[in-house]
Amino acid sequence: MANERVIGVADTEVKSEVKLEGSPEVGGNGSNNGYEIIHSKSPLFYDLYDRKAELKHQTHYCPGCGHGVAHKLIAEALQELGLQDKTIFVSPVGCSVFAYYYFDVGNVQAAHGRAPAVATGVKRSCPDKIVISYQGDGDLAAIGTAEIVHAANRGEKITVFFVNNAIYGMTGGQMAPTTMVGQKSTTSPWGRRPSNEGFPIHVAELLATLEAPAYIERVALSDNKNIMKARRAIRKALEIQRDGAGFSFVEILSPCPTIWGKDPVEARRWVLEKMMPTFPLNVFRDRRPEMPAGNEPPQRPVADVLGITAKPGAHDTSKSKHAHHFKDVKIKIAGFGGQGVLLLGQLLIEMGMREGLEVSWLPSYGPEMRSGSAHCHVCLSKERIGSPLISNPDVLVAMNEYSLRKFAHEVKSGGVILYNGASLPADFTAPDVQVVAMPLRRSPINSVQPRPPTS
Amino acid sequence: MMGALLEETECLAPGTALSVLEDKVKKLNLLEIDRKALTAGRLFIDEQAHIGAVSQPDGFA
Repeated sequence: MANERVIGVADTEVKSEVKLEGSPEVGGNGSNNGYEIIHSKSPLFYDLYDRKAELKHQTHYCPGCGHGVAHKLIAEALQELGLQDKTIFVSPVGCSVFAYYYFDVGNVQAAHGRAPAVATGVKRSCPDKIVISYQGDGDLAAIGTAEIVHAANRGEKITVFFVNNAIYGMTGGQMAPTTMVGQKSTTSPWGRRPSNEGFPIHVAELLATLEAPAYIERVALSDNKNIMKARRAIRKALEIQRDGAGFSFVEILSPCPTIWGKDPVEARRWVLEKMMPTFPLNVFRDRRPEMPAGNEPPQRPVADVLGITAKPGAHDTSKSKHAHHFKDVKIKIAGFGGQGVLLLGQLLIEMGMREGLEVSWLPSYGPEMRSGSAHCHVCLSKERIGSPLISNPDVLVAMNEYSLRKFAHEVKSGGVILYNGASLPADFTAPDVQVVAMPLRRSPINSVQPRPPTS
Repeated sequence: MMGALLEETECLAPGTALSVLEDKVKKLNLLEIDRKALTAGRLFIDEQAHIGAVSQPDGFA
């Protein structure tokens, strides 16, 4: 981000000067109408954007894009407030997806529209951090509508910067929820018609109907005056989070010259003349909501709350004599709904918990209660489990032929497949995997005499 | 299938399986069937398949 700071000749104070390898030779001691141009940027930005594949000295944003300005304002506010080491930036999908290229803070990538939900999790687990959700209009106001509304309604102590350029930028100029009436896009080539596409959504006003938010303001990157107002709003939103006051939200009307088909100067003017009448600048909320006191949950171990420890007659985990000769066991159980696929997984993790193991269970099933395909991932481990998702199981329990064919190739070399069938399909092969076909339906369990457990 | 799985992987103690079933299955007649099924699965692996445990580089047996 080669931001230029233009200062008077007499102003010799230069806080930071960055000369980047490969950057064009501009400024320095050269003069420009009596002003000296100093290349500088907030130390919140990386010196070089090493996470980019190429052109590491500049951002991926188009010339005149508002994201660069918004990035700069946020970075400078964080720097002024001394929050760099405490900040976690959540960036979702859209032009803002690459925020982690630039900000030298904690970064989390979120799925499309889900940044407020991810930010909620991050903030609740790290309440002393400054958590920022940075989203575009397609992301926040379309696929992520539910996430932002509910995060705001819960009064999550996060800050959301909503960059509204009235269009889908990254994907090529499709109509966004904030596209204005009459505005042409690739998916509304005759202009947005309320009778067909509805009216633009005013997100700031919408959120301002909720009780919980502490601060909601709309600003614009239309001209220097409004950019200075945006700077103050961004700083204030971060201060509110720093002080633990509640949910803060700043909508930033931003130019998108490339998609709008305008040069950067025209695009800024368009923000001023076209966007601001539709999306008027305002402070929609500035108060400190008081949350009514509720019943605080008990601060007890989860297993204790669930009542799965120290039950009379239950297996005593501390006295388990069973030796676990493994680091972890990953099991995938698959079959039709109604075959006990998910139940078997639940029983296994219950057993694992009682033996003091770390466990995870991840179900996957369709809308059908029965006869639909279902499977679950079970992990039993001596160590903490990073992800419950199992791509390559040690053991596959296939309760039907469909599951056998679908998941057999995922089993690790040397793994085991337990197949519910009298025999394997004639054309089935599974190299390097032991396959056991068990005709469960024909098992004469009534003739089986229970035997005592081995341990 | 649970009995076979436990017998094949030896990842959990059969005694633990029984205690979990006793807690989860409320109907005694179903619990008895579950016990027999658990044993049937273990027997199938133990006495019919004779394939034993599988050793893997990560220590899973």
